[in-house]
Amino acid sequence: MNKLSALTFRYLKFNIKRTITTCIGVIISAVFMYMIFTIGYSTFYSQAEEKFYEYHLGYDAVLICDGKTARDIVKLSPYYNEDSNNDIDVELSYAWVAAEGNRDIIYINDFFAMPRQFNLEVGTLPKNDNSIIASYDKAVFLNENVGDTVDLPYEKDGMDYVETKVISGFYKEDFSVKKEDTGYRLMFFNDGNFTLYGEKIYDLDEVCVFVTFKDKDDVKGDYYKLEEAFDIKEGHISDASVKFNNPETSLSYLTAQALLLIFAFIGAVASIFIVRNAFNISVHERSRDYGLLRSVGMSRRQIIGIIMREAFIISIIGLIIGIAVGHGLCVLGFGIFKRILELSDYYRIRFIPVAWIFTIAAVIVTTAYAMVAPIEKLYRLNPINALRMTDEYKTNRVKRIKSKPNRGRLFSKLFGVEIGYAYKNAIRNKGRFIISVATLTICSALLVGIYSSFYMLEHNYKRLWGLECEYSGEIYVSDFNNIEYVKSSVEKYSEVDSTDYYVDMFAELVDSSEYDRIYCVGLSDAEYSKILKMTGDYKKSDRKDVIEGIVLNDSSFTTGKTYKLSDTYDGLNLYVSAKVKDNYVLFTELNKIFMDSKDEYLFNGRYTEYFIYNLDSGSTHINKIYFSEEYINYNSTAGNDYTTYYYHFVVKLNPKKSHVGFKNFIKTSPYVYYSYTEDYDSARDMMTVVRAIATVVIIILLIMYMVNIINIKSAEMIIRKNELNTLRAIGMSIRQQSRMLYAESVLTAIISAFLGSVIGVISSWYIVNVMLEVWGEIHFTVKWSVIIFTAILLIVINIFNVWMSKPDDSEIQVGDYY
Amino acid sequence: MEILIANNLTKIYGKGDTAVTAVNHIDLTIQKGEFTAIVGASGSGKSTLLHLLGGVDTPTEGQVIIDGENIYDLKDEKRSILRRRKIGFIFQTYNLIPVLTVKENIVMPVLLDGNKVDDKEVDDLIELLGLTERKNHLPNQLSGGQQQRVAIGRAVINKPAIIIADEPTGNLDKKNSEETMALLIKAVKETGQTLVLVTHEMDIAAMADRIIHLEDGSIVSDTAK
Repeated sequence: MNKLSALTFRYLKFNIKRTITTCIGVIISAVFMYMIFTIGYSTFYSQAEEKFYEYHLGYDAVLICDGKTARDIVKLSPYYNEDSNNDIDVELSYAWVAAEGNRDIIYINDFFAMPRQFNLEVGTLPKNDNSIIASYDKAVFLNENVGDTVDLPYEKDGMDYVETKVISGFYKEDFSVKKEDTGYRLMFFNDGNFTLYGEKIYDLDEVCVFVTFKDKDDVKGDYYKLEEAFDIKEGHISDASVKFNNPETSLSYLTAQALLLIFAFIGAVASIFIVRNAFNISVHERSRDYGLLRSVGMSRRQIIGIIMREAFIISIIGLIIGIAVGHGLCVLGFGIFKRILELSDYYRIRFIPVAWIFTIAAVIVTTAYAMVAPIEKLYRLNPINALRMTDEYKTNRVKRIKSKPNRGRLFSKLFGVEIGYAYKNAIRNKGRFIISVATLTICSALLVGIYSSFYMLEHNYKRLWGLECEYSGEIYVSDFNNIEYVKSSVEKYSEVDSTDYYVDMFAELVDSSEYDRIYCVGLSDAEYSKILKMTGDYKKSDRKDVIEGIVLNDSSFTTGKTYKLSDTYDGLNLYVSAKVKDNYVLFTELNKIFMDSKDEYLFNGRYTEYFIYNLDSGSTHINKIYFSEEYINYNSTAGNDYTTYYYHFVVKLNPKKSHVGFKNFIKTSPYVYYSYTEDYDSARDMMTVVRAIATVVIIILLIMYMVNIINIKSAEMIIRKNELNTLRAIGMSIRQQSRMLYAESVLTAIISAFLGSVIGVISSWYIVNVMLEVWGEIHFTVKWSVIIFTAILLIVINIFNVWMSKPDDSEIQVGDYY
Repeated sequence: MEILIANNLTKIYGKGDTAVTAVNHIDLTIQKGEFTAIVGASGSGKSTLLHLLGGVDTPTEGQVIIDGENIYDLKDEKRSILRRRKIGFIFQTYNLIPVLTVKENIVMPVLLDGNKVDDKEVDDLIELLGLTERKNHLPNQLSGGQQQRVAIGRAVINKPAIIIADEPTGNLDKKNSEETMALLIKAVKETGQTLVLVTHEMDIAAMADRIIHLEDGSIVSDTAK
């Protein structure tokens, strides 16, 4: 071991506390990076595996499988027609590929949806260009048979075309994809142009092969088979397959990736601060030693060599411990989350090579960058000044600026001389002040940013999935007392004809003495007869006065005017009813029943969102809004099966307020329609996982920043030791000095909290919008509670740190430095 | 009249085998208006003694009585008040507050005491110190001699009874040393203040009314002019 290395080890040993602190910085960095990527990717893969019971080999993998592209494979089909100007030929060709392989045809229209599997139920696969297979269910419904012809309208280059095709067979959807199934299946991505009986015919631009697991632990066996078939060495969830899928799929994956990278970046910045500070303190503390070494002939390069060696050793130690601790925490944390969130066995920590690469890279970058300032300081080291410990004090502390003598006078007058001095210290010692503010600003921007991003993402997912709306109050799903009644009353009439059902339901509402008032909110449409029947029946009801009909949008009536059922107003459509009981208003949507099933998707959840948003913001008379939703299959008298979706919600009125405003709102708001979506559960689960991960990340980052701020404060106190002791010597009491230091901290914290909040909210809004590409649709969310919490937290942390780092009160060591 | 009395003053650093007695049972009385120089070799304990006399260090044993009060019986608040009102410190390395201007450094003890600054009085003092042109400058814009003059101003602004100076010329060249000492003595004599000064320069010590020689923490000679 050469002398420099020996000296390095000796310094590490003799400054064991500083060595440990620096190591902790590196360890935290490594732990953070490792955890972020390991948990993030493990969650993603687990989620995907749970959904599909499979690994999805992906678009890229298939494009090169067996040395052929998907298009090449398809060209082997006798049905492939290079000159064909439509994609049905491609579909046929793929169907042939599937058939030749004696495999089922499967397509998937959403990466996060259940794969849909088709089996050929009747007839044959298409034998020529003019044939097609069609949905078995639809064919039965429409009384179509094999050999019948159908006209397929499609659009191409902005022009409408029609092609006539012969049905050669019918496929039936089979949702029974189980993990027991194994084999190779063709998976088609949904990008269809054609529509047949309301369902798309799939334009098979891409093809993927995936394998289902016979046993999820028997991964190797399935891979082996796959390898045999396609010469693919390793199965993986392909980024490309996700990216090339539909926007909602890529959205989830890209969001996850972007969040991981953002967290990782923030973590890296925090780590750099920690390690940089630790090295800075180390160099500062040892300035005298280095001065001595320089004065006895050691070169700058050799001095820097000592600190570089220290950095290297600390990095290696930190990396090893960090990855070990990180993996342990991942397993432990994931286990806890798994139990809390009741996740399936598919959720487990996996070996993620990216996590290792990023961790090692992050530690190298962190340490290298953290070394810049100390090395620069060492390079400028003047041996004499270092020996006398005057260099730092005389030349670096305050820049040669033109002073403004009146600065701080106001603070002094208002709060005392020590506060004025604190202000001057902050303003005139810009370097130190900026470092403190920057660290705390990053910390607060992080907190506010993560939470704001989370709220905005949550809002967006809810909006996309039609789940809930941006609503500042409390929202419960199926969590109110009347829900059982609502369900039972709806179910009761589920088998009857739609008109009668609503008439009967309406009758029950009116007849029931439980309800003080019934609001009939309607739009004018073409269903006059139903309402006429209804109003006719109840014009003479004893309880007619409890009914209020409100026409929202009807040329025959005055919008917003309240009509009593005792009045004559033919033509009112009953769309929404609402009933009042003990300050609860139950709305039951009734409009959907009159719609043709083809219009099912005419409206979406945004109307619900809009309605509730306005309901809330339009009135201060509401305490809470409760939700319920359900959908019911109907067998109509016409023999058509269709599903009707119901959306119920109960508004609890504030009994102390007048309900005039609320009623006015109902008059002017649009009707509500809610489209139930199966993605509800996925959305909720995903948000729960995201929330849990975000919380863990925030806790880890907070610990990192706590360490960081303690480091900065410690460094500051070391640097200011002489100054603080001088102040004590000339008569500043401990109380005054504490007030001064606390004032500096609070000032720093308040400025940082403000800057951090502004940066956090704006950047999170920007990031979320960029990530999701939904400009203008994301509500700009400012959570004041989070901002206030952040400001208080920063102040508390800062005061705590000052309290921790304050010089010893018992002695004033003015002469310590010389 | 006695302004400062030290009884059995002892300061021991460390414990057991590594214990070092920096000040060893010193008894000392200093009269009001007296200029006392404490001299001794490096490590003789003169700076430690000075710090103990000024109430910035805590003795292991003994007491320091200033104006009839044992300063080490006082709690921090009162001792701080005593320091700012009755003691003025001058350090070898000036120890000015880097973020404060010349004028702000000088008036700091006044402000710490919660008193209003008499601008005319401060300006007169700054003029006496020859720093009028520099009064709004920060310490790092001044020469060593100028910085020490600011330290002198800060020490005398509250008209303390005792000025304690720890090698005030230690970092200055000969010309600046002489000027600083002349200024210090002038300021002290004009207000009848007591000056206790540590130095290892005999020509500086020779200016004093009394010279105390320290060796290994004990007084080996105490000579009055």
